[in-house]
Amino acid sequence: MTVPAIEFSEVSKRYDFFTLDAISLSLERGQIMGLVGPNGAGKSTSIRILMSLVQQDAGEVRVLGHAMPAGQVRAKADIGFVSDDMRLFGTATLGWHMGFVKSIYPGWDDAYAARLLKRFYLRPEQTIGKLSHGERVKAALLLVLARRPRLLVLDEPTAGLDPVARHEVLAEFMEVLADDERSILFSSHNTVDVEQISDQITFIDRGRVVDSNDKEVFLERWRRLSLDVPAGTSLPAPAGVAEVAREGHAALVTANDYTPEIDAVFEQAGAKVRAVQRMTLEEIFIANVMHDRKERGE
Amino acid sequence: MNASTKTSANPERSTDLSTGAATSAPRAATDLPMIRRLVAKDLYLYRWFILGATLAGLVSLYVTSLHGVTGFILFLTTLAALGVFIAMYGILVERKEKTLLFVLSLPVTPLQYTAAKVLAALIAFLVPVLVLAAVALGLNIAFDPPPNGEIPFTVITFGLFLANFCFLVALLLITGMEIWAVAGILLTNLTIPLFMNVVTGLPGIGEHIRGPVAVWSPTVLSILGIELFVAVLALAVAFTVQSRRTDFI
Repeated sequence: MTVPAIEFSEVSKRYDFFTLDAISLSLERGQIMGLVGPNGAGKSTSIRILMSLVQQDAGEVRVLGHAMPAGQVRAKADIGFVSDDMRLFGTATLGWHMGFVKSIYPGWDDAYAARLLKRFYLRPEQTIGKLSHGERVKAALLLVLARRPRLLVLDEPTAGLDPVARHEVLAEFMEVLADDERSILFSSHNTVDVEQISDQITFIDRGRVVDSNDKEVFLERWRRLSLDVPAGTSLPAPAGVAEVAREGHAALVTANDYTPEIDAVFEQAGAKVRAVQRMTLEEIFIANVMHDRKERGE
Repeated sequence: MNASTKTSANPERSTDLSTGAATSAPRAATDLPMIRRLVAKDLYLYRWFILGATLAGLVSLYVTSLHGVTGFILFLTTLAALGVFIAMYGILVERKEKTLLFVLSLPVTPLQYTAAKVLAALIAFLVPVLVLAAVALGLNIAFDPPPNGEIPFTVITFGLFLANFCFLVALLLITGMEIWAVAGILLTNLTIPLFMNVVTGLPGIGEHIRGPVAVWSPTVLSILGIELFVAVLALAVAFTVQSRRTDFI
């Protein structure tokens, strides 16, 4: 029997101006989940609860089979965590950090660390305080990747990186994924990065999980239909349609569970389906969030 | 299921990933090797403060042997500055510069982090103090007769600095805020002139300072006891608050 890498069950956390509202999600071993949401959606709060940096008010969190926060020491021994606002010690060198982390994790891989140094164009004698933002992110990634954790938790790891650095970092993640046993939780508001590496996507907004599914399912289900609508024709709202935006003789329909029958329903109502287009993950994300907000009357 | 502070008090029940079998983990608070590594990490980061304070203290002791009060004031300033630097750099800057996030992402509980932080701070503070105390005692021997009457007063002065230091460390561990750091520094600095004025006038202390014999009067021992009590109490409060805290970032 295998246990999910991450299990959130009805997890809540209340602050003065924000509430994480009964979040439930599960990440299977060997999977990569992209946690996507706008700023302030609750991504970082969820990750901080996962890492026991913040404790939930209610609900159950299990990481690699360990109940959190009680089992945090054992769980964190197998988690590599990088956050865009995490900093290393500015006055110490990268080499000192490598020695420090190596002393804690028996799984530290010297050969892999040397390879990462080369790939990220870093040197152990560099003082952290003198590194650029991109180099600091890569240094932090090196420190977690070289210990070969079973679970990688990455909170906006590519934020503020230039395109080349982003490419290097994402390429490294792809290599990590070659190991089927490794799992990654990747939080970002950059849907391009998430789309590139994730198997599963969870959309989060205003402290709630809006939708969670395999990436392919999202890309398969969501479609945008362009319609020509003659004057006097009223458009139906068939099942599987999230939004109908009409302007004059044109309408743009967003389907969240597309089937060809939806085309037929509109055709029968008198409209002409001009085009059916696939949507990008970013478009799906925005449409999903806006639909959810509308459903909740927000 | 309710979690929050309640879950941290429960013994851990874990499930082995490969088998799914539940296992019991040892209590995390007893992970001494991890605490030792964190202490070593802090001492490495404090190393220039420790060295600088020791050198400045040695210079001030030398000046004391030549100019008395001027050197002693320099000496007290060195001790006060050492305490402030360690507390500010070790606790406040770690929080402000987000290196705390890195440390807490390691396999460590917040309570272990607190234990390591306090232990490292005490070592970083006490090492220069003990070195300087040993040098000061050595210098006393060079005088004829040795001014041993100063020893009890010097010890309770060290005690004051230790109590102030522990108070500041506890305050920053609890609040983690710059405004409280400033308030704490002001408050602890105010105790120094107050201490000098009041304590030197107390019976059982003032009359023996210039004497050749160290007199450990009940007054000296009481003051020392109060100072140690304040130091221990401050740290105990910090540990209690940390153990009940649910948010660490």
